[in-house]
Amino acid sequence: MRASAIAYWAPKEGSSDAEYEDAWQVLPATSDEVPGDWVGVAVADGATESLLAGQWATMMAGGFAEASAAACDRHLFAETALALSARWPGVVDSYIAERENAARPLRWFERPGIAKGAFATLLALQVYTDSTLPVRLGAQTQPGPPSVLGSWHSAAIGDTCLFHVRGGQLQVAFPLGESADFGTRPALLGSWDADEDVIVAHVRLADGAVAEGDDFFVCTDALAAWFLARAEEGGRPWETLRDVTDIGFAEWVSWARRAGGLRNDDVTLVHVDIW
Amino acid sequence: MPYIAEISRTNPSCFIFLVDQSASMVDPIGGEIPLRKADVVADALNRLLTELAIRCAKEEGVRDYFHVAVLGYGGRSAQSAFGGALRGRGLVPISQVADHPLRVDQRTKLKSDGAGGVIELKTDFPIWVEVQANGATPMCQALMHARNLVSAWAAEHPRGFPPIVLNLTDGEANDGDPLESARQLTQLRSEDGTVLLFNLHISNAGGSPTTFPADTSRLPNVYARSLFEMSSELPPHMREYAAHNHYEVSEGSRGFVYNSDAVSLVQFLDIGTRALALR
Repeated sequence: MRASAIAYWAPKEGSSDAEYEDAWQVLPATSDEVPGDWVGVAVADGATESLLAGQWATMMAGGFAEASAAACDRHLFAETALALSARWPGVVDSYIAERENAARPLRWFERPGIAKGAFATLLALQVYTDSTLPVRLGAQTQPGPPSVLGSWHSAAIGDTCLFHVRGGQLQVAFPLGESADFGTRPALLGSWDADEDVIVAHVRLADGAVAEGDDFFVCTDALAAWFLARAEEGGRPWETLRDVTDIGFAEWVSWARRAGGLRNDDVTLVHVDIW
Repeated sequence: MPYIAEISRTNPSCFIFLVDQSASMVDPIGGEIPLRKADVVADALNRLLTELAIRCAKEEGVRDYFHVAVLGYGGRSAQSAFGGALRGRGLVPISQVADHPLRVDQRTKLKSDGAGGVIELKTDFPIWVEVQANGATPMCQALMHARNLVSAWAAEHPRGFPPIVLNLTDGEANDGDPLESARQLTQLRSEDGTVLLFNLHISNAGGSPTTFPADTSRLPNVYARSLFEMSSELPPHMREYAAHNHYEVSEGSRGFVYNSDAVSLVQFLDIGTRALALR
């Protein structure tokens, strides 16, 4: 596949790596050249005010990156979420047993949070390319719109966002479109959720074509809000994110928190670059 | 815009609770269940501390997003009302508060069984402050004591979310005009805004329970009106959160609660993404 898929992450300043509660998964793998003709991305953001949020976010990211059809269909999305929440009682039982075995049984202040469950936002993105498509559509020899290589589908609950950039223009901001849309009460998938209809009612879907040169950025909320604010000012935040490297990301995040308007929160970025 | 500072372990805020423990607090509040004002206030305070600790709890323990002081005032003095391992302490990190209640009682609460009946659930109810009711009501002294704590805190945490002081009382101060002491307290500030002073008024004066009024029209007596005047306006994001939770609020709504539940005040503060189920 003529695409790279790279993930970057940084915990909230003042928190340790172990306290990072976002989660991401890229399938079949992060790579400078993704093998096959498909890449599945899922990014989840565990809610600060819930216990075991990091664990729940990791389960969600893993489950949704794998469930490719969940990005195209509300009911399949809800089924995937419910299959994950069905595993939650086992996770909680294991956690409680682990704490007891370590002679650290749950304290009174943890029990209400464990009973309430963990919560996270989720965005799933599936990108498909077909290497024969430009040929079948007629390969371009003259300058013009870039060749269509395939399609993408995305589904989201909450404020983890996807930005699709083509030819130096922001094509799609999904599911939130303005920096003012962010707050502390995004829609969240809960680990005890059991009502398919409620999930179906909250899922947002988007799709589009994939063309040569496209960039897809999946960002958790602090970075997404920064991205939209810069775009609203007439900036080109995608150029900044295109230029970050694995080593440079933490440094850039640290600078942006101090001086660049990036809110202090866990930060995750997955960049899919079609070339 | 004020009242937007991050509340985190590296930038914590502080909560100071003032608890009226004067003799007038033994009076019953009326109603079918014979409760004394002192019982209601002690219960409210222990619930507030419980809620605060639960909101800060993570897998590794309670995160110190807040430092907390509890000052009791009754008789001739206003002093730390913590007992046990925290006896005599001023501002204490919330993790230590969570670690050292005097005891953890079990209470029963009734919950719908979803089929028209109710089921009994046992819940933990930690106790930090016991019921007390003695002597006069040195509220001005308590407000000045809070002022000293806040002043030192704000000097050490200039960029923090402004300290919050919550006074739980029947309002019958007898060591001067509490409005003047309150004014001096609420002049203090961090870079993010002035100190917030809220009041929970527990009274046997009757009238309707009132939460976050914007004027005194429904308040039953001079004590309620005086406590209303002392109370800070709710900052915009707290007002917005109150509205989201179906409280009747408007511009000018104050952090004043009359004979009702004040636990919501703890829930108005943002310490990160809230854990709310889809509805």
